[in-house]
Amino acid sequence: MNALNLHMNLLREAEKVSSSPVRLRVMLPILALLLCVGCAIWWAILFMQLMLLNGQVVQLKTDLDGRKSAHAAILAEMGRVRDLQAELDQLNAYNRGRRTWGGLFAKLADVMPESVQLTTLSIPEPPLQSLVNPVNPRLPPLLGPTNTTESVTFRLTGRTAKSDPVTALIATLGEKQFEDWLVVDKTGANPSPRVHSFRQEKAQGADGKRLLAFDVEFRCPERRFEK
Amino acid sequence: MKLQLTKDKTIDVKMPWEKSGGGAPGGRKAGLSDVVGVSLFDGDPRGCPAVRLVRKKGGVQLVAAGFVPPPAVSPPSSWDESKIQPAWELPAAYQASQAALAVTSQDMFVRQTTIDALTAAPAAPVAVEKKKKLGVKRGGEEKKAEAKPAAAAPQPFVPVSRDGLRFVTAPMGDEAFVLQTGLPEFQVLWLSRLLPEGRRPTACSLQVCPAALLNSLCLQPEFKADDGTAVAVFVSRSAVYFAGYRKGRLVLFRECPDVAGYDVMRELVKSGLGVGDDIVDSILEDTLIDPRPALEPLVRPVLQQLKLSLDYLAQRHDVHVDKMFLMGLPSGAMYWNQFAQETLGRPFLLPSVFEGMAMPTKAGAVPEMKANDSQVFLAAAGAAVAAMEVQA
Repeated sequence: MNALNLHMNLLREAEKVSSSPVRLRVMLPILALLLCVGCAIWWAILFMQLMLLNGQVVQLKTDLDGRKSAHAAILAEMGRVRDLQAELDQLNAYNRGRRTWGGLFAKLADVMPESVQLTTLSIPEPPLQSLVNPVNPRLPPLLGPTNTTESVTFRLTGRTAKSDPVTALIATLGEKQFEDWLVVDKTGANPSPRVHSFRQEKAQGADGKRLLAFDVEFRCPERRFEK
Repeated sequence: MKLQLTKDKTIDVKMPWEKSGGGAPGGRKAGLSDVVGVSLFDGDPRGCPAVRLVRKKGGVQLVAAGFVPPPAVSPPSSWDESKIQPAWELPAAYQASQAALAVTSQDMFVRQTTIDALTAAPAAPVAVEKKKKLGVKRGGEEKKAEAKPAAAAPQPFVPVSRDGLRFVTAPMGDEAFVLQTGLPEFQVLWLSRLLPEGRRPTACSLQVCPAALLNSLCLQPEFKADDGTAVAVFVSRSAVYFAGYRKGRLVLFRECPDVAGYDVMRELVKSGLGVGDDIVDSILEDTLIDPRPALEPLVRPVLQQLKLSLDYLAQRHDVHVDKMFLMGLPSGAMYWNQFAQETLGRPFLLPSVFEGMAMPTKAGAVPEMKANDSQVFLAAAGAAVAAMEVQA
């Protein structure tokens, strides 16, 4: 049976309304409005962020302008510091290269035994540096000394009636109070102090006794021509 | 979803489930699954007969049936009165998602006519739906609203507005004929807004009562058993209608001329037998007093007209009917049967309106009633069945 349902509906599609509380024709404008509001909020957030960044840029520019003079001053100060540091380094180098013997002589006077007579106190000239090229001797010699260190010695010569006071003097000079000027090193090939001579003099004194002459050399800390 | 700018500067929204063609005959959508049918303004003092039907796998189930309080205001009789718009709500048991309204109105019309008569009618500009909701119009409206040429026949099942009337046509079993029903435009608009939006149910279908009656046979097992060839006599409160079907398709529809309906029949019994209103139905259902003399002036002309209709069916459509249904008569059917036996030589079939439907499982969903009592729900059930697009 090919029956036809006679649904003779007088309502148009537009007149049919939904029973659902959620209505498309209500929700569409609401969703559109929400979309617009969302876009507006998003745009407002972006605008606020832009304004914030602009403010930060202006503040940074102002800050930078204010700091330019300070930066220049700092650079100038740093230049001065560098100059002073270089000057200080140079002075330090000079200071290290300088030998002050006043203290040694002052202390030496205090510890010198009465039975010992010093005849000379000398600081010999250091040996000249070889100008032969250290890398290759065949190469032309150096134009001048290039060593940054220089060995220094201190030599005492004198007379005494007995040997004991001299031995005591040498021991005293090896004490700690003289370590700034004199080096005590009894080991190695170049010991210090080094007794060059300790002999009886030929000449006689007024009482007819013969004195003992001594010649002792101490090695001193090296002079360093560097920072 | 497809958005398209139409010629009248609205946005045509086509949902994915809205096909441009195909589907049900006449481009209609598929039927609904949960519908409450309500017969409005039929004059029943108990209220508006209402039937809630749900489509199930095996067929249609009756969920609830009963009388609901009518709207507070009567339907308007003019444009001015239509401005008073009440909001009507149904009881909880009848709050389906959609409602199909079967309306009885003095201004309604249902007629069988020819296509030639329709096309010969003076062409009038079709009232285009001007009311746009936020400029958004659902897909498919535009075609319906387009002005049609003067000689073109109305598209089947598509409502048309003309001369202050809203009417719709449907094809009949004979291609030369169409069935046309209509209501005044203002009544249609008023009724479309009667059930407010956003609350269950809302109106999805508005039919005039006689048109709704025609679909009430779709589920009847007796109707389907004999290839859908039958004649039905629909007795309403104010009129009697004949409908002839051939293989389930309507080939005849006419209102019985000069005969009023069931209310007049009751009045005749009351006046003829001198009884009160409260026992009329008992007399019509009992054999204690013979009401036939009182009924005869009404029933005999009906049966004579029916005989004429049967002859017409046999000669014009070569339809020889074996089954005659008598529907919509709450009481007195057995006397109608006796008259039929005498006049036509065969009785009527008197099925219950709810035959062919699964009955509700919930107790109290349907009031206790005899088979004849169900006849008051005929129009409501027919409207719901039509809205569900149930095929016989």
